[in-house]
Amino acid sequence: MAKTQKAALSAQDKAAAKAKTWTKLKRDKWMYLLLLPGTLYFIIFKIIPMWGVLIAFKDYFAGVSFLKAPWIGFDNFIDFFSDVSFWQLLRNTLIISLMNLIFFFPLPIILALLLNEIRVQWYKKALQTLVYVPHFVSMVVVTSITFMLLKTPAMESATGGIITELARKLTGNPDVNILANGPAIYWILLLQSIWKETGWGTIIFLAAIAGVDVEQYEAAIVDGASRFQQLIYITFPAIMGTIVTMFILRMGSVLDTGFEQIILMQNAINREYSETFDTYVYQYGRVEGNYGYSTAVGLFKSIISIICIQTANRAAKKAGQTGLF
Amino acid sequence: MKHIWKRIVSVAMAGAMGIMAMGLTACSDTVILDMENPVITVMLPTFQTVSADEEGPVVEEIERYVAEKMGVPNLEFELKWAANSNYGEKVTAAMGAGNWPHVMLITERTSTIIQNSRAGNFWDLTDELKATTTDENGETVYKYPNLAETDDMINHNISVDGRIYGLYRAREIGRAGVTVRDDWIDNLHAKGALSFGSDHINDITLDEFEEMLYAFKDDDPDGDGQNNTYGMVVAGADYIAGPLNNLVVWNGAPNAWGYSEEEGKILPDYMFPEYEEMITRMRKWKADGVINRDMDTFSSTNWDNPFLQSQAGAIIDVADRARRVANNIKDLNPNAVVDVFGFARKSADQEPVTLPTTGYSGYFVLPVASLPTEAHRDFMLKVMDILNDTYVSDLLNYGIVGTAYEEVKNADGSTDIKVDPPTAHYAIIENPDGTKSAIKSTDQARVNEYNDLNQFGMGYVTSEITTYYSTQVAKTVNDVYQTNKLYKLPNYAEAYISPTYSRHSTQLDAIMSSATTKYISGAIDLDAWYAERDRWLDQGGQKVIDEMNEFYEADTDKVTAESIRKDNHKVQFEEGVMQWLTPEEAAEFQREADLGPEAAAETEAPAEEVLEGAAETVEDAAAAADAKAQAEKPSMN
Amino acid sequence: MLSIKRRTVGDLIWDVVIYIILTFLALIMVIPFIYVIVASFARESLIQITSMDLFWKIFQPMAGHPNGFTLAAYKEVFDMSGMGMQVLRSLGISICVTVVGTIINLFCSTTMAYGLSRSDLIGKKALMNIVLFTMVFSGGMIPTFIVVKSLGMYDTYAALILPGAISAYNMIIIRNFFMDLPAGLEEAASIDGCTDIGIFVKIALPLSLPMLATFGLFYAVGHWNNYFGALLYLDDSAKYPFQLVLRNIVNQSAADIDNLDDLPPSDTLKMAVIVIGTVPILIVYPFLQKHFAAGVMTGAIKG
Repeated sequence: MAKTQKAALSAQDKAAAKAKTWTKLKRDKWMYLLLLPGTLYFIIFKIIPMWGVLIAFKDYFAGVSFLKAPWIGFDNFIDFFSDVSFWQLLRNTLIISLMNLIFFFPLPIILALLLNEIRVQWYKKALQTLVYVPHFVSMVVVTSITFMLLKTPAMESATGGIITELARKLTGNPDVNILANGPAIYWILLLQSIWKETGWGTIIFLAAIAGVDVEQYEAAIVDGASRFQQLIYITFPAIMGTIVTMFILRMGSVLDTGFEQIILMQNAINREYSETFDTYVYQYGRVEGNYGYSTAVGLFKSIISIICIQTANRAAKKAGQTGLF
Repeated sequence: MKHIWKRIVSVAMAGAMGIMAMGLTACSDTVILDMENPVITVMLPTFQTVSADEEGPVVEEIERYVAEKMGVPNLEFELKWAANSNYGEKVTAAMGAGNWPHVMLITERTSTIIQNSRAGNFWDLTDELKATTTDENGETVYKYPNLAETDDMINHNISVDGRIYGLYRAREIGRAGVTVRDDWIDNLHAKGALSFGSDHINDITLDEFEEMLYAFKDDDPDGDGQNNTYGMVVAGADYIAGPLNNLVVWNGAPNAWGYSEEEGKILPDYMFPEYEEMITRMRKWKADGVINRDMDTFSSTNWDNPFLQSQAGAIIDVADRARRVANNIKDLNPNAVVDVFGFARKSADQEPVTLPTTGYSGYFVLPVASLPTEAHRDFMLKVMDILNDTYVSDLLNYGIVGTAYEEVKNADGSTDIKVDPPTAHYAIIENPDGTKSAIKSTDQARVNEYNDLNQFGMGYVTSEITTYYSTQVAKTVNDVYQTNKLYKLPNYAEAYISPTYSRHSTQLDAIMSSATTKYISGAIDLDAWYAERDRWLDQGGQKVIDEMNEFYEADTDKVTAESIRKDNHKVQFEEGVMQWLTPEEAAEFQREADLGPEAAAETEAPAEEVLEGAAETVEDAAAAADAKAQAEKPSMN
Repeated sequence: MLSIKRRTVGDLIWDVVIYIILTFLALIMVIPFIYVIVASFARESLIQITSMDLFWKIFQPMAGHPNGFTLAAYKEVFDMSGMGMQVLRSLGISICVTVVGTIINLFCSTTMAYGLSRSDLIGKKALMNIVLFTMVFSGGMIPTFIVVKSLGMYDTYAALILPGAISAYNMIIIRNFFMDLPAGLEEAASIDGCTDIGIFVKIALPLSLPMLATFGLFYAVGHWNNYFGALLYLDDSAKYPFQLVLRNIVNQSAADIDNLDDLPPSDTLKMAVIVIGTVPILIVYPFLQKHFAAGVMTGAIKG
């Protein structure tokens, strides 16, 4: 694409383009002033520290001088890719992240649309406040409540958590032990995320819905559209742009699973299903202080992210949406 | 599109070059210690919500004392506290940004710390700790008499490639212990369901221990006629190592690493038949419901709960857990009696073996960046030496001493004692057995004045003060520590840093802890456990073993069965426990002890002099008493 | 109001179903938090032995006590000779950092987003790409730390605010909001002689109140919950914001404590601290809600 553009700019166009550029720059001087603080921020706090990615190619430890640390080329990457558990980590990371994308991503949208259907204002406000409470409950508490619900009894005569007891009655199997079932961790993590973040996720969509033109509803009502039809044909299309933006941004974190939640839920039985890039790097990189390695993994994740964002953006544009850039 | 990325990358690179220069200049932010008018920055973790104030009376008193002994007009400590849960990250960030304090506590021996030690960023103290100098009378004395008291074994444990880079913080070595329901044992004994009573608990065998666990489950120890109890709580989700390591050590397996006669080299514990035997036994306990059925997913954060609910009768962990459990169970079951013991023996005619801790909790390093010359290093070592004076270490642990003047009985039967003057933080009381205890002031504002200062203590010189506890079990906890120490089994490989293990410890440890938990809980059989062990060997375990053995071979001060036996028996002899000593050993120790005073006399005199100096500056009677007690100590060794 | 006039049977069923579903969801969402509140009022030993049944067990008599209810945790948190001073001070610090930080966030984000929303601006694309690039690639903790230190912000509150002055993620969404504003309004204003800054302040911002409220909330919550910045950049524990104090208490477990005389904070104390840390930020939301509603009004004006 860049090449064809360049070719199109012939020599005589260039002079004219230069003059045009100058007038445009002058016209937009105030816009550049507006851009100034943000640009400075990105240069100082984001671009300048970017030299840190070079750490990925060094055998670097905090405290040892960066310049003195030996260059080791791609050793950190090779170390990572040839790690015996690499495929296991990739599998778990993808499963956890994709389940999140498929099952969790649509929920805040649905909840926001439903909340918008509540016409009694005080009740709507109350509900909104309530659903966003879980966002503030610390992960440590979420974990301990999960254990309360899922725990199996310590001895035959005792009762376990509500959900375990329920599962026992339903399946008729007295040995149901959800926490000791390896792959069940995927669902536990998903449900925790859904519980904690769905309500919070509605906020952005509620703001988008608030911006929808009221006249459109009035016109639809005149046309005899039911409430459900209004939702499908007016509200949903109106917030489509926001949904697409959120989706593209979400694609940028496809390999991010976070580490705090998983580490809190990890046990000897489910570890082979719950160890992801993030938990691994947390242990090996952050706790041990092996920065070269963790930066290499971070760089790998960034490259995947950029590919995902680009793909999603292109797909969105193809589908007739504005896309991100 | 493409060329934009290129441009961005080149801009980033240019920025990088510019900033690397900045990064280097940032190092100059480290303040080099001024020895004329020292302000010493110290990095420490906090455990309490409110940590001691630098301007508070305790810190000021320490500063005054240290300044006087150092011969400087004024000396200040700047305490940089960081929350314990994130302390490691704070240390890494500070080191990465070149923000070096003058003394820094290292809580974990991470790769970063090892690399920094090797790179010479910390002062090598190997030849300094026991360095000698000539005093004005021409006699050879220790340069740092308190630091000379550091334990060789523990110094060995914290060493990197045989060099010592820090001053460890001494911790209780015999900390392991089993918390049990004493009243249950007596109930069962009275019914004839158990062959021994609670008075035998300090001397039980593994078979008796097993008998007890089964009785806790099967014979209704609480006497309510219901089958609602079981033997022991094991937190398999995250800390199976606690109970497991104790049990396998009691059964004769090594503490993490030990020497195998058949193989002729050191091996990890799971390579030993005694280990296998013990986990198979635990598997049976689990299958029989003697261990909690949810063991594999039970998290150690809830460890106390089944015990508090009077469901389980035993927890194998640290002995001081008994103190906490006893405190919390009062509220729920006033009739419950909690006791604690240190070990079970493999058989009645065998000398006990106990699982020791590493004996330290982190160590202080002296960064070269902030202490650039040997003079700086020596200055700082002198300060650290003075901090180990009994007077200072008591200040760090208890605050300022006063006298006890009023005893207040609380509703729950415990006693509080009011301390005079009101600015004092503790008082010394004499126990019936002649020992002395410190009673802390119950005034929270007072306690806050020295909160967390104990993190700065190294404890090389034993204070004669111990914290006063009103409950019996808390006193028993101290007895357990003392007894455990007599039979400790050190880890043969504690000091060695295998490069493969540092690189892959997370995966390697996970393989074996998962496999063992699964095996005990019944999820896999012994063949599958062997297969996992082979996988451990394949994925780097074999390399770890080879590397460890190289270190072991090269080590001139290595741990051997003989060295362990000699160390332990010597301690037993000093404590008057003669049961396991051969007559020849006893005779030899006796000979050494008889020779001792003469051999020690050379160093005794100067030590006394220094300490008398201390007593002059400190008018406090109690401090002088401490100093005298300390002066007597060298002659004992 | 319109909906009431034209209510059909189908709409009525729709309403009932939605009310039931949402009420049920709201209960599920809020019960665990209520549990935290209840636990903060419970005796320590009671929390140790109960799980969800704490809700009713707290009012039942227990050994030696009329019931399991106690204010002890709150008394301890606000004990002025104990941690009370630190709790109150850190709450004050958190509030100030949150307010100032959010204002700076909104200023930097909206100005930049507005600048980037102009489609024919020269250099816009390059700048946008830089933003996207930094969103995905980052130099990491240590290089950023060095920048913060070189700017003299170490151990100052600026270090909690400036290194996170803009979230690229939020800024991009704000920009998309600006791009959706009808172009006609801006043109009209520029004919009236407004500069770009004038248009931004007088037209674009007032039209995006719901958006401002939303991102104000996002940023505010971000500041309120941030402990890591404080952990890295603050040396003086007297400057700690509340979240760091909270984390120090909540993440402390018995297993970490190697000093035999120290006991970990009790669970009930942990719960009380969580409640105290959550309530102030929860209160913010109802105040912002009226601006969400205001969005509907601007929508009407737009047409």
